[in-house]
This record gives sequence, C-alpha cells and structure tokens, in this order.
Amino acid sequence: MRTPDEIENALLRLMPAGISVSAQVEMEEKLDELCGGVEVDMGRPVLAVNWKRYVGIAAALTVGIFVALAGYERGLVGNVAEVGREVFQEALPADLVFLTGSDRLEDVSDEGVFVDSAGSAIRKVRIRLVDEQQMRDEETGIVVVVSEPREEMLILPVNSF
Amino acid sequence: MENLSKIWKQWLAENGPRLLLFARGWGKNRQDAEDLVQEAVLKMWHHQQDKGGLPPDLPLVFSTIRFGGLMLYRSEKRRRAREESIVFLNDFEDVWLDPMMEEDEEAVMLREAVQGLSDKLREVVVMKVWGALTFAQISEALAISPNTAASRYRYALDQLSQSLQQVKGDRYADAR
Repeated sequence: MRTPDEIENALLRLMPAGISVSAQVEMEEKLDELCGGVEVDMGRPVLAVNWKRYVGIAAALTVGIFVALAGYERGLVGNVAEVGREVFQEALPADLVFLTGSDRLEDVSDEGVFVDSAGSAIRKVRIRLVDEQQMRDEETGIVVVVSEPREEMLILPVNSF
Repeated sequence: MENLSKIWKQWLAENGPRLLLFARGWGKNRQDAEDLVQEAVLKMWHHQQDKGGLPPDLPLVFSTIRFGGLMLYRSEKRRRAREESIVFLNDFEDVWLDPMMEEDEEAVMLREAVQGLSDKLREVVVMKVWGALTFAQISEALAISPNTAASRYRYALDQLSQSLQQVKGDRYADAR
C-alpha cells in the first residue's frame, strides 16, 4: 500500500488537460471585448511605517484575529461560497425572486430509422421543449415568465428481431 | 501600466486547466465543463469591476463554478428523468487529466482512480493538488470546516492508494 505522501507526489505528476483551443480563443475574444484597451497600474504603493505608533493597533488586531478565528472554528465558514453563489446569481436583477422552473415537452416527431456509422439501426426523434422560469419583481409584484424554447434530436437504438 | 485584457488572458492561461479539471466534476463532458469555466470567468470579470478589475482569487472562481455546476446538474437531472431509456452515442475518448503527461501504467491507473472518486472527495483533491489551495481556502469555497476539508483529503488519498493496490492485485492475479 502506498503512503499518502507517495500518492500526493504521484498526483502532482498528472497535469490537468488544457482548455481546448476553440474555447480558449472564444474566451480570449470575450475578454478582449470586455476589457477594450483598459490599462491598469500594477504597482503597489510603498508605505513608510513608524512601528512604535502601531504597537497598540497591532495588539488590538491580534486580539481581533483570535476572536475571529474562534468564530471561524465554530463553523462560521462559507463566506467565499456565499459570494460564489451571489456571483452566479448576479445575472438576475436584484429585485427578481425566483419562483418556479420547469422543462416542458411541447412536441415529438419521429424522423425515421437510420443506420449509423457502426452499422446499427437507430431511430431519430425530434423533440421540442420549453424551459420556463417564473420570477416575481419584489417592488411591483409583477410575475415575469421567461421561456426558452429549444429543439433536440434524440437517438434511440432499434432492436432487430 | 499593463493592458487589462493581457492580464486576464495570462491569468486564464495559468489557471484555465485547473478550473477545467474542477468543472469536469459537474459537466457530463468536456464541452459542458468548458462552458462552465467560460461562464464563471465572464461572471467573475463583471464581479471584479468594482474591485479594480483584476482577476479574482482562485477559491472564489472554484466556488462560482460549483454553483454553475449545481444549476447545470439540476437541469440535467430533469432531462435525464425524461430520457432515461435513451442511449447516447458517446464513444470518443474524453479524459480529465492529460494523458500526454503520463509516462507509466501507474499514472494511467491513478488518473482513472481520480475520476472514480466521489464528487465530495474529488473536488477537495482537485482544489488541493492542482488548485494549490490551503485547507482554509477550500473550506471557504465549499462552506465546510477546515477539518472536514483535511479529513476528506486524507480519505481521498487513502481511497486512491487502495484503488491502485486493488488494480495491481487484480492484474497480478490475471497474469498468473
């Protein structure tokens, strides 16, 4: 049996697969669009610190850090997770509250039986779906319904008798 | 002064593969995972605008990908319930870790063992090993305690070790 250190070292030898060229190019193009020609100053200001003046502040900070760590250990974690959730939901206007969501089947049509590249019989079925989300504007009470219709082609294996 | 677009592109080139690896735990294939990464990066760009516009810390991006993945999982779950009798033709090679970097058989076995870990264990391993996050950062991204993050990591390493042992044992038995 390998030790945890050995497994860890073996894992470090494996490199994550890179993002595909097409996805990388697409993301870079979007970043170019978003950033435009904006320039930023990466230099950090250098602070001249008189340490004697800050001894009291440092002591207060130390106590504060101990208190914060005690709270942290009691389970007050998840701030980053909460921000992550907020970032993901930023697309919705702040006053809209999500009510319900559904994925509804609207129509099914049989496209017939085909033979795939491996020589197996398959049936193609075209389906039309509507992904619907209801949200309420907290300020006006108006309920907004967002519908996203889409079409999908399903491939069903056909058994031969 | 540096060009903001260049800074973000450098950040993406450096961190893209580790974000993609993390996203693989949520998308059913590489394209889904790349979409998740792209969505998270663009959302992070908007989020960072009132913070100087520079690229974010990795734990926050991991956390954003995770919520994107949860939304994708919910929508996929609804779809699966509808299509459970359907078999998709999906026979292309689709790996999470780069096979070009693997020099020996054990690396291949380990790659497969990582893919076989449960979601909870794998996300901690990915963030620790390839994201280079501390247990404190992982605990913040996943909203769990640092002790839980550390014990999940130890348990994952233990499981990987056992998986390797098992595969090697099976092969030895087959060879005899």
